[in-house]
Amino acid sequence: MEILHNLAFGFEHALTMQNIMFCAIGCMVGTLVGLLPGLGPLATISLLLPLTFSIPTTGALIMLAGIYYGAQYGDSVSAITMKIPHASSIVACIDGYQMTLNGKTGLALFTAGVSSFIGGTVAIVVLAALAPALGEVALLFGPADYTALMLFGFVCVSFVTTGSLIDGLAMCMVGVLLGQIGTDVNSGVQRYTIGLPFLYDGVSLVSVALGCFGIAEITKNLDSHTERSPFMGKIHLMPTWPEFKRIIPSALRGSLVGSFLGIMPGGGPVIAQFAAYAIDKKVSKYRHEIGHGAIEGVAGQAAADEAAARTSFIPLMSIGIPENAVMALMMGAFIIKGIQPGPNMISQHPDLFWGLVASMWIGNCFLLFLNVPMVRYLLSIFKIPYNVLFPAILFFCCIGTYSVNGSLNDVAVTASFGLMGYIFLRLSLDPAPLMLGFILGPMLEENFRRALLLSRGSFTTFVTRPIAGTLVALMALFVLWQFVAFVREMRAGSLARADEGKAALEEG
Amino acid sequence: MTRFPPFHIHCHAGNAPSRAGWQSGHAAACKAVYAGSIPTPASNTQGSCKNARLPQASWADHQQVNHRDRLKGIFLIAIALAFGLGAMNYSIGKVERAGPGFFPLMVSSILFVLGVAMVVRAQFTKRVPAEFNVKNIAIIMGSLAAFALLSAYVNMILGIVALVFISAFAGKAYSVRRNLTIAAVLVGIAFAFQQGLGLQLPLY
Repeated sequence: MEILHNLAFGFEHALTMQNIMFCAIGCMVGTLVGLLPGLGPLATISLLLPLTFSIPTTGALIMLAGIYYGAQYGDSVSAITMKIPHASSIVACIDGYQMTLNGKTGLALFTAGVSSFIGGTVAIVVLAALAPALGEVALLFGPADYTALMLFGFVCVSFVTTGSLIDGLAMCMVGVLLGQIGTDVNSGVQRYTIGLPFLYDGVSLVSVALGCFGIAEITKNLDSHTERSPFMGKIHLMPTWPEFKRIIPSALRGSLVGSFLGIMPGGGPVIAQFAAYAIDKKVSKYRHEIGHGAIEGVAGQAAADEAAARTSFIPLMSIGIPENAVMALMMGAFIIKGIQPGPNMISQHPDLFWGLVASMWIGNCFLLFLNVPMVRYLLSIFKIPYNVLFPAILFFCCIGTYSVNGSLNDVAVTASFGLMGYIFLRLSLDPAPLMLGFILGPMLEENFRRALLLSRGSFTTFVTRPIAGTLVALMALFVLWQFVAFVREMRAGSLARADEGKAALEEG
Repeated sequence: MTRFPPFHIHCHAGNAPSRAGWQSGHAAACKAVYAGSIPTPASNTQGSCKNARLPQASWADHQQVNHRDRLKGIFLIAIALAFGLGAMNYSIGKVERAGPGFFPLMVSSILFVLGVAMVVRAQFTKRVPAEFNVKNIAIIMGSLAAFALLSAYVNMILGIVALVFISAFAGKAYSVRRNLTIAAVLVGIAFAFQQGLGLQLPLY
């Protein structure tokens, strides 16, 4: 009952004219961004961050959240119609694109739209029920536990987003180091400012994000020389009743899987999609069809995708630790707006928290409208050639960075991060963990120093406290497992190579 | 959650384009945030062309300088050294009363170890050269520099025009007319931001 009461309170705040408008803008921009090449949710959120300075807090956050889940949605549309996922809808390419090849684009889009709606709705219930409860648990956390939790988040994110623990962890550390630039809060010492006064406040979040995800990305796309052909097929949307019935069970399964995996550290839409797809492949009544354009193959993963995009707000808003790079950026947005996400956020800003939760459901309705009846108009955006698009994205990057402080120095900083991001991309290092490290860095240092202060300099505090100890043990397991996997891989690899050599010798 | 995708430690995007297709968990996850590394058919063919030469990777290959896995380790070691040596300039303090240099020194030591681990690991992986297309990144950097300098010393309208005209060299076909249109539209948007959203842009 309390949940209903709280949700009603939230809708009261979300259903003002202004907030509905921000929600609609967010969903619309998000969907377009999901459809367009070269701009992921990370780059878009950071582009729009400066523009939200003049908007009231709740509205700004509603809009940014809308961009995030809207982009997930738009992405699946381009995955289904053209097999081009920009952000994360890799799984939608499998069955979704297959359906397009079978001439059932409309059905696939309808399925994705409806399942995403179901997924979003389930996730919002989970969010409303779980976030306050988790917030109370988070009050038990001491500085050592927070330190361990952040490190655990680094390990999980590195592992999930890059597939290689060392690479991801190294990028997190680079991010933490970049976060060190500026004035040290404890001692007031200027660190790594190399005598440049505009670095005293540190590097701006917008600069790092736009450099690594905007400019580096543009350059990479320019290098790749791939032509995209716009979708020209016909779209027939309405399904038959038996087809519609097939959507529901799969979507519900996907919603639950997605909601759960969205909460896990390092989790989020991508891993949720894969899990939901794998489960559907195992248990669905039509599992033999999956992979050849089955409704279930689209429904489950679309629901999981949207559900995870929403539940990933739970760790951010209840514990105050973002679990992936996009959430880290959202945390930056909260902080810029003067709100510290964490256990106290729900009690201190109930209107913001519940308003945001309620707005997600309103956004759900917008997205259903945008993606089902309007989808054919949206697809025409693909006809814009990249030659027109990329100078415009560059322009937005420049204006966005400039308007943070009204300083051209920031544009120079963004450009240097663009160069750095480009080098990282070319070395196949994923800058997403860097973002997480950059935002959590100052918090990590603060908690780490405080933990050691409290324990009088003894590192055992990270092992003896129950929460921190468990997390450290889990991390150790992860690292050990990765090492063993690597060694086994190498053995198998060298055996295979030896066989190849032998075969070559025999042939020769 | 540890059970889901079949990740392997050696899989970096492109390290094994043909083996780790986009259906495999890893490749997808990489793309989570990265629009650029999208598995389009074209990039796949490109990958497999290069791959055709790969099976002959041998010890001699490892002696070559351009080994991406090794280069990235070296790059990260360089970053670790820059920050680590920098941290020496600040007071380190004691463990229980850490000075401003303590934490960065610790983090850069970890990064250093990770970088060394990557270099060591590179000895066991096949050589994939890192490709830098200097031209495009140079053009983009040049256009940003032109934007910043012209905006600082003349005005932002000129900066925007220069940004469009210079960056367009990185695109496929260069058309002065199209650039003029883009520049005009962008200047219009900048005015809209200035008037509508109240951004302080020194447009003229």
